[in-house]
Amino acid sequence: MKNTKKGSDIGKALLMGTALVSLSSYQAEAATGTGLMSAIILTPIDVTSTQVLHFGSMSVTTAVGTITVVPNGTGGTRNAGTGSVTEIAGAGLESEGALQITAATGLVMNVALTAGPFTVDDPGAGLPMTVDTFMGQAVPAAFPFTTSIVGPATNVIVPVGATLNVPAGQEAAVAGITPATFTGSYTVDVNYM
Amino acid sequence: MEKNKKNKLSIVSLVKKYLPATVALVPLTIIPAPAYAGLITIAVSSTGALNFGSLDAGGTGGTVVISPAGARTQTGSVVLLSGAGLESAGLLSISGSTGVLIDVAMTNPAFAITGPGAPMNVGGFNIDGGGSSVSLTLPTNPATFPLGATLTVAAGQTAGVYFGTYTVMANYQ
Repeated sequence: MKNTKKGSDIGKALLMGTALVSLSSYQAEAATGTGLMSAIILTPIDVTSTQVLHFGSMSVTTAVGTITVVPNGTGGTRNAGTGSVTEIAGAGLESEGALQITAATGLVMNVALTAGPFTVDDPGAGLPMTVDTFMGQAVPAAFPFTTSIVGPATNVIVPVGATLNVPAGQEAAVAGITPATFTGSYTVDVNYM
Repeated sequence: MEKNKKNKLSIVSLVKKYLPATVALVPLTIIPAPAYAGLITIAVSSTGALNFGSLDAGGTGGTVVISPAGARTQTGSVVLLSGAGLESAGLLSISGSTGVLIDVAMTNPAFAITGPGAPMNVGGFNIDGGGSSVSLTLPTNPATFPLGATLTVAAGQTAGVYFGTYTVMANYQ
């Protein structure tokens, strides 16, 4: 076997040393992760007038005057008129206004009047009259004020009062018109705080 | 048999003949060669939820934006309820080798949060002020990066709590 071709071939085949084989093994060079997102959508606020703010019946003279309805949560109280205004009792029309606010419970809301002025008018007769010094709540508070709904109730009733300003010359303006009925509206903004 | 014996003996003698005396037979060695030699395995997770807080959709809806700094703003008729302190930017924690450029990107441009009403879209992701896809290096291992986004709210969106998830990918450049 010495120095034969076969022996030489076998010898070549057997020649070996350390064989270094590089293999690419995968290591994490990329990764993904997941995160949480959330939001809370609140119950929309709804405001509805459930009682008209009514100043009732009154007589006027040539001068200016006022009459005020004070809210108390039980129908309101009409004060005696000032100046040219004399309230007429017994008709039972005077009443505080009432706003029903429906919203999420337990959250504080701000109740504000929108920009005025607010007036009542009898188209074609009489002079427009401004309404101001609005008050809200059973314990009267000037606007804006805060309120909230206490569960399990889903709404809160806010009583409203204000002052009617009778201009000079109203007597003449309504002369011959019986009765002169004046109507108008006011607007409030209610927002979560 | 005798022949085989002969052959076996011959192979051994040939090995001894052809191999230098100083070289010993060594086994075949396989050494793993990593593709990113020396780099720490990368990982990404969320350590803080992205929370848009409490809000009222309003009459026409709109959007709510949470900046990476955690500031909340709105558009349209959306009213934000302040004081509850729920709103917050998300937090991404990335671990890996420091000083090496890493690409971080949302796997989708938008995701949805679901609840009692129609799903709401969350998009406009903002990773650390760089948008929805950024290249960054880790100052430390791990390091935290803030995440902002924009929530789209429809008019009349049904009240309730909405939840969802987002997915983010990180990889060495």
